[in-house]
Amino acid sequence: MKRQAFLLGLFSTGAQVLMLRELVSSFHGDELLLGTALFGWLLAVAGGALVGGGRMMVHRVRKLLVLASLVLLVMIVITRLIPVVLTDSPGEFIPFTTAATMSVLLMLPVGLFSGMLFPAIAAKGRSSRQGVTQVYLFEGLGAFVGGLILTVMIGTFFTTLGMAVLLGLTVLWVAYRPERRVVFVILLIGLHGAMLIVWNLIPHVDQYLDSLKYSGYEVRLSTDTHYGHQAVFERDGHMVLVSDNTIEASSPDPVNTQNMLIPPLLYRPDATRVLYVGRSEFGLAELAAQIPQVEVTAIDPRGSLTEALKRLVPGSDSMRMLDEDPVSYVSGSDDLYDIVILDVGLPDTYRTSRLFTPRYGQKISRLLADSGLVFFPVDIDTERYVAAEQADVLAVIHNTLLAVFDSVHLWPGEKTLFFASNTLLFDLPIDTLVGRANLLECRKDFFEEFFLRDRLNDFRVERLNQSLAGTHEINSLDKPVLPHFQAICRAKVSGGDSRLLPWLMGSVPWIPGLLIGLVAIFVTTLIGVNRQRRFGLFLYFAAGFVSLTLELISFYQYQSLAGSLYAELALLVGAFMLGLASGTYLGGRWAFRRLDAVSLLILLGATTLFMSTSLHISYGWLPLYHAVFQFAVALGTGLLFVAATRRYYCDGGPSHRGAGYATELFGSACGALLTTTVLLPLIGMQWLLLAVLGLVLLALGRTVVPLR
Amino acid sequence: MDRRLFLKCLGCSTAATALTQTELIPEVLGGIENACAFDSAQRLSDREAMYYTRLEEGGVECGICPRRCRVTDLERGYCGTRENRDDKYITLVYGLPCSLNIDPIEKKPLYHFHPGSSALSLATTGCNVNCKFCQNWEISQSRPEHVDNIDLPPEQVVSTCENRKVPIIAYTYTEPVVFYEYMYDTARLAQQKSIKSVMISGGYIQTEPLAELLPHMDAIKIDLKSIREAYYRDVVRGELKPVLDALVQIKESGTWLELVYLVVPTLNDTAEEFRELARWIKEHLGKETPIHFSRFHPKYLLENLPPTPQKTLEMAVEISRAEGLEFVYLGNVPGHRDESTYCPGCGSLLIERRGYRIGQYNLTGGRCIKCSRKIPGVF
Repeated sequence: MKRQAFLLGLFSTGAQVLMLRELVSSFHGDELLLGTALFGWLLAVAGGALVGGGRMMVHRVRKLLVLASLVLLVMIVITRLIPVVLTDSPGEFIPFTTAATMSVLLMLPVGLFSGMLFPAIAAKGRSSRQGVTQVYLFEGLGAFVGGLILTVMIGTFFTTLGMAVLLGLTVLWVAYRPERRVVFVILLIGLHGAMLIVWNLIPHVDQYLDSLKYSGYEVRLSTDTHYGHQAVFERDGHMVLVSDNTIEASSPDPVNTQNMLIPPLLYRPDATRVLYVGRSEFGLAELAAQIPQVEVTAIDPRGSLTEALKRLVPGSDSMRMLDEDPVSYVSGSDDLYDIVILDVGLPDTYRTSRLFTPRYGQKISRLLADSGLVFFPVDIDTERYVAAEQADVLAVIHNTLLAVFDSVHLWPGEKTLFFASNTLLFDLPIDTLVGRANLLECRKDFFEEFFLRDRLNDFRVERLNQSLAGTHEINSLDKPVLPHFQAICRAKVSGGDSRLLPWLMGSVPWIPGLLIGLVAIFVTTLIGVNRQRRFGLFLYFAAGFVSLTLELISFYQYQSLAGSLYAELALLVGAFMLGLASGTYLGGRWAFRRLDAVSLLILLGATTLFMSTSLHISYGWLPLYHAVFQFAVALGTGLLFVAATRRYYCDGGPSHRGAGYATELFGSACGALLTTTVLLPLIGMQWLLLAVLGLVLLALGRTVVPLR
Repeated sequence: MDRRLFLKCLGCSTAATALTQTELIPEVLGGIENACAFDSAQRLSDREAMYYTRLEEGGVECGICPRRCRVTDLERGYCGTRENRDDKYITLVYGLPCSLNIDPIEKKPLYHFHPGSSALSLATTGCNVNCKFCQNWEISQSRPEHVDNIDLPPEQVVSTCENRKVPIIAYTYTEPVVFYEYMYDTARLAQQKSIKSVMISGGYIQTEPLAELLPHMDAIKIDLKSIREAYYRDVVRGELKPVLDALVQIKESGTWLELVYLVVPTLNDTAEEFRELARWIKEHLGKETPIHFSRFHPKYLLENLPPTPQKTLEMAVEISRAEGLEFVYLGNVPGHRDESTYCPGCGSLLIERRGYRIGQYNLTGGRCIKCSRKIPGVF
């Protein structure tokens, strides 16, 4: 039983991570899609746990595990090819409503298998209580190992598809571990042979699948990094870097390249040191090389991609390139620059929007030399018109920059350009800009006099400036509103999205409804004959909701403050899973009557401490701080799970061993769907944490107040 | 504590907490306000539309474009700018442009029509097709009440041109056919003041309204999006035949006509299509009709289809010239040789262009200064 539970944890975490990664990649998902997909997964596992556990399944756990591994592989291939089915041409937009529905459906098969296996394995325990607790403990340990392995190995050694094959082989190997030594050795050799085949074959399969998605293009590179799936396509000499089905860079693309480098040089023609956050290989390096005095340092965290691109794009390595996350670099560097260029396209995910916060702005301004400027080219077209939804996004960026810099300036155009500085650099007549452009020694087709005068004519500039009055919101770590506004902006493209997203993200009448629903569920734990058992279910729900919410918030905050450093993120995953296993283990051995109160107090203490200290931790201590927090939350959750199990599976209680687990997963699903996806940008982190505290206090009150 | 007391305490404390946190209340209300703002009604026009018929069974049939929308009471046509109000069909966007700019005429692009001049460019919301690659989808696919409109009746458009000394009005960005009445009245008024009018359109218009408009238009640029019906059906969501008919009608009227073909990678960029296109133009519009091959940039529903490779554009130019077209241009690639106009007779440079800037200008009285060949256009 223990080995199977461990294997279940390993498989379940692996499958979840691989499917989420593939879905986000296929649909270019933001946090909203990620949350929906995670919701779909957790709901499917909960459903599986409820329907599973029958007599037939109990005796076929190994076969089910192997079958689930095969289904996972099939679902990954389907997920990768689903854009081809849903669209008529390569790169066509898939509305959020379609993507979300498909995500939930695609998560269903593997999730159901994973869920069904829990009660099936738990049924092997001596009693309901002992079986459920033991499976939860060993599943947690398996998840700990699986989480660590996957975080480190995907993008470093294997692609998602390769990892899915390896996961299947591992499950097969561990599930059917042979007893005889000869068979063991033969199978071990076979396993390694299979791994070698996977190693050599899967890249070709990845490449083939990419060629199906972008038919008409030649696939020059297909690879996975920690950050997602990257492919380089070529057609008629034009190279395109596509990251997670989104165009990240293309070459030759003189409009884009010149828009990246020339405008800031018009305000600082004497600049020598330029920091560029983005992919410089696609034209920027070449353009920068034409200006002798300018030295550009480019940073991007995907070192393996940089290496691969060196072979594909000759001459692209002519500038200094650092394999660094933009947040961690800015936090730790003492270099000084005249110009900092942040080329991150659209701030439509938390990963990009973290670069548009006052906190990050302050860190950048530390890197600026005297009269230095920061330049943000944003993919919003303000050439002919500024839509109300676009105006909100622009206003938020403007307000955020104004919170840090003394002077912020904008240019309209097919890309809207933001300039920010603490020196008054931007109050220049157009003639000066034209004169400076003429003196530049590089190619500047799109910055010739007629283009500049047309771009900066009164109509356009006034319209853009007027549009900034729409909202006073600032994008901050506490309330990351930029992806939220961007999602509403993009929703206009599709009828379904334009009805759903503005309602979900633009208005909050559903939030009181949610609170009332939660209180109503709580009230059912106070009345009736079965109230103790219902309270057990409530505790399961609370364990799931609170732990997932806090885990996601910690991840979000860690990535925003310290950067997406995967090795350290693996530490956090590990800390959480280890905490979960430890909590379950301790709870199982501890016969203390007030276990529920103790676990809730741990959650209460961890959340309160986090609320008051998390934004004041120095950079170097962040990994340890978040690891300890994740461990504490998971420890409390593990203890709470055991406490809930004791209440729900009390003597004479129900025998279905998946019900409690399913309820916990339902709580997690609610946390995944609502918290960091919708509630965080709507009400902010402090209110969200207060809501979590409220739920914990509610449960704590119910445990400590004896009811007659 | 008994259960009743516990519930009471719980209810009271929840209410008290909610009341003390008053800062959330404005936030909640603000959110609701923002959501409602999207639907807030703006002042729209109620001018009666041209070209519609009342149906015997009730409702009206629009006669402006080949869709011929049948619209029941309080409904709108496909374009979203025309509404049936008690069997009176009205245009909601008359005198209400949502975008106003002064652009070089080369930006339209019109290369054989007063080169180097500028045009007051205006657009209302709405379109009678839904191209997956639309560069102006924010306004073309919006309803007039969802955008900020400028109150600018035809008289003011003309007076703005006079005040700013702009010689041309361009009806552009979205589809001018959907604001036909506004365009028609403005063009007539402008004509009286010797201000030129140009229409930048997809050409999806009925014969009769086009015939009435043509005498007041000085030049027309049509986006011929493909020469294949399937492309129009799947990517443009319109029809090809009415567009081809409109092109022939414009040509026959003598109004200056130029074409733009947006080359979208993998969708309309094969050599066969370029050849077919060139042959059709030569046969039906004449080899002297200018065509611009324009570069696609990812937008709207094709936001992740890569931009058009320059080589593909050059191939289109090459094939069209080989088929005998005399004025073939390449768009959105400043500094390229094929931005400029060359004399089909002696091959000399007539109008040198770099982006929107005019360099050498070797025409006198619309003729090549070297070989005196008459160059088609309005110079």
